[in-house]
Amino acid sequence: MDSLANEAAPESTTSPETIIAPTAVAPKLKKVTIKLKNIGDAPVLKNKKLIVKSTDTLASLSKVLRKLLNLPLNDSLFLYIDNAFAPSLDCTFESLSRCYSVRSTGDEVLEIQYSITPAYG
Amino acid sequence: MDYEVSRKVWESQVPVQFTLQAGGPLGDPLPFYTMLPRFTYLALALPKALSSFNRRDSGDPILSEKVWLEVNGSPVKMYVPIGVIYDQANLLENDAILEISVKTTQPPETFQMVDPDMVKAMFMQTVKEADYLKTKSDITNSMMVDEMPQLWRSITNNNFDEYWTMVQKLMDPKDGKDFTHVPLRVYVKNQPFKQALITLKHPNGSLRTIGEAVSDVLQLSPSSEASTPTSESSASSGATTSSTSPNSEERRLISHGIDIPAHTPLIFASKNLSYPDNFVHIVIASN
Repeated sequence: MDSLANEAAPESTTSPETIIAPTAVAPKLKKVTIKLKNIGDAPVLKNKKLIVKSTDTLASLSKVLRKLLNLPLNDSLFLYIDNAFAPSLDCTFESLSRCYSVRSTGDEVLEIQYSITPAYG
Repeated sequence: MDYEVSRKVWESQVPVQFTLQAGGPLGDPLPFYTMLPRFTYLALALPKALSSFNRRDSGDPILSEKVWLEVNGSPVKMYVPIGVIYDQANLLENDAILEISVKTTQPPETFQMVDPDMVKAMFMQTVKEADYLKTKSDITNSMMVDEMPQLWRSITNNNFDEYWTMVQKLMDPKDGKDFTHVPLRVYVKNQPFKQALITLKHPNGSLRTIGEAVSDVLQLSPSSEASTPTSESSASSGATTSSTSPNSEERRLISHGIDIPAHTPLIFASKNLSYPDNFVHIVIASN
């Protein structure tokens, strides 16, 4: 499970980055490191660290996580940031990482909690 | 907060047309026309459109869980404020009608049907996210259990007075503290929205403008630290240079159907031009 990106279904909402301005950052494919933690009765993952493409959305993580946890489609799965709120599923990891990544042991990591029941209102 | 500005923003509406393409022996029903507040959601507006379609004498009623919605040939997000969808559809110049196609075919994978309960839950999480950015969740944590549902009710009932009472609690913290970061989403055509950590002020204490904030979110400023995108935008000491980049002059910042002057202080935009979800939604248009 070193590269989740290959497995994640491509999101059609994320189109290849178009050049907005000459000064824009080169569209180099960036990766985001995610650390997952279960809440409540949600099963623990063997591998808690995942690497995803920055253009992927939270919805694609939700899909992959369902597979890893063997959750049927109609079972609910909730994803939280900092045990505080559930970000919009169409948010990209680029935006999530820019807003909510934390630095632990030098590397920037996006910590996401998952639950099979609503945990924070 | 400015009562008059907030009230004007609340009262703005957009013309919307729903058409049903169901085929069948009766042909398609007449389109359903309506004016919708910019702050509301398609998830809330759809039932009314469907009941208009279902007023016909015969034929099976169209159920909301069996349809999907399209704008300009693409599946539409039912949990994005209608005003943002309208501004993205590029209809501003001639006050055109937002045309929503209601389809009964197999929905594409990218479409998500959102019912009123789901959009309520999503809305509340977005308000929480906004508060996390503004106050590290201080305000929402101290709110009473029924206050968030009350904010939602003000939307479903189109009740400005109720909204005004609730939104002041979220926007004007009692302790008078500044927002840590400003909840801002920027929409560039055919791209997912962008969001970043944006502070109210520059390191030297001067107020950040909405134009500078948008440049920071889009990482257009040459001084923004592209190599470390998670670093706070306040780190870019020469942020004022962003307003002089050639790109930002042709760029238009649209919200609530109006051109927001780039020099508008970010704090004013956040307090007065946010949608009820407490985010400022800026759609980028070019001349």
